[in-house]
Amino acid sequence: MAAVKTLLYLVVYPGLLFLFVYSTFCEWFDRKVYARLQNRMGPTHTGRGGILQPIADFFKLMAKEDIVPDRADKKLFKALPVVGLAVVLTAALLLPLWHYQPGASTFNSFQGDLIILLYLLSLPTLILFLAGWASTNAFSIIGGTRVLTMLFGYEVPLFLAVLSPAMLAGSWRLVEIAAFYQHRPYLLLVNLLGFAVALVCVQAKLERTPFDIPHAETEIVGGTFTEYSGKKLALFRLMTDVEMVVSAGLLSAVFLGGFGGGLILGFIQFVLKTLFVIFLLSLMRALTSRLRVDQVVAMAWKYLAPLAVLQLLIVILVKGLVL
Amino acid sequence: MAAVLFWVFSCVSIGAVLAMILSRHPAHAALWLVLAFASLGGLFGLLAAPFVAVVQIIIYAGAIMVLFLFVLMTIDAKAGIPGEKRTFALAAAIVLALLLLAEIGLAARSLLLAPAAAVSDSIKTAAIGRLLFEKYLYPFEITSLLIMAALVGAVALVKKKDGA
Repeated sequence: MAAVKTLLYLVVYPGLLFLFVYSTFCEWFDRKVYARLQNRMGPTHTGRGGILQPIADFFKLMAKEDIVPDRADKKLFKALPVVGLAVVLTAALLLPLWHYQPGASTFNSFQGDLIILLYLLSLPTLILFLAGWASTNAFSIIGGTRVLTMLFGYEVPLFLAVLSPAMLAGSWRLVEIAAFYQHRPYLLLVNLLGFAVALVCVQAKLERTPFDIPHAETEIVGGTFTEYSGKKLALFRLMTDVEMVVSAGLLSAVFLGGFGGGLILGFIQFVLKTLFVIFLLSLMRALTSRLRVDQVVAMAWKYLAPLAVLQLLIVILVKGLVL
Repeated sequence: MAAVLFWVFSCVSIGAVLAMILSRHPAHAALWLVLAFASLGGLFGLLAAPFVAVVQIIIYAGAIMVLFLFVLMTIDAKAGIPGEKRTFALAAAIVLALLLLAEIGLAARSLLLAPAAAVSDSIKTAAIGRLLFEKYLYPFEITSLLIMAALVGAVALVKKKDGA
């Protein structure tokens, strides 16, 4: 029975199948919200309200010609999309949805899984950089260096912001953090500042406007993806979608009280909370325009990191006074 | 389960290190090293040392390797060592390898002779923190000073002469 459960966990929910369907749905949601905020219709053609458009896009790309540039580092170039998708799918398994035991550690929930999840979420950035470098195209390499330059900016505030609620809960395990805030929902208000900082950092991690510098099409064509086509591009796009879902799930687990209440209730909470986070990210995308890469790094170190430290100080104060 | 994982991790780490040594391209070597560090992290995890495992993965396989790759790819390292320096490099490599072998031999001998001290079940992160800030406070602070000096040195080296 336990083996069947584990298999279901890995393959169906929240594993491969669910993530594929849900991440394409989230892409549709994001595109629709973004379009409506700009007074456009967004996808309308495939399925009701265009809801199947991301899946159609995925299969269209899968069927397209797949070109590997002659001078590219071929092995790396071919391996990177697969590795990237595997990394984000593994990260998704660590979200505390079901199939965990509060007292004991299992493969998907253990002390320190928060840190592992953060690490797995920073790997796609490295993979995008390598993808740009392996393409040996000038645009790709510029895109790749921009990816890494941005990473040095937003990674520190993101880690600080996500770790402060964990410090308040006194645990490095997502299930325990979520349970802590389910018992004391009012303490979630303490972390509002950290939530805002983490949202901005996640937006930068996902390379969405105003942080779409690595693939700024007006300057450097497709950036890191310039040489990618067909199946590999499809896998990269799926990777970005899943990364968005996992980041939203991480933020909802840490800042919005997690997904308690068993399988069904947890599922409903997961969908509502991740859609809320993705709605905020879409709002940010619609409201802003692209920054320069030096502006991003300066903003991250001048504003985001100090704000995250301030959040840390608030948390320590609250922990000392209230708890 | 633990035994299977141990063999998987150790085989992967040995294989990755071999691939690192044997691959000609420095960037590929760095990537193999990432894999080796990650599987070493897994081994530490099996030894019930979660803190060391996580640090191994985040700091070595994460931060340091990103910096390493960044440097490797901005300089053109394909050329390798020029021919006239190759004999010196070979001699230095042999001497270093012999020294390292001797050290490993000494370590292995003392380990095999003395029965392994009982390792506590789980080395708690809090206990490591307490050790760092109580027993090993001075070495810890001196290390931070050293790192600070290295940082300042790096900034001074890359800073342009005309102050721009």
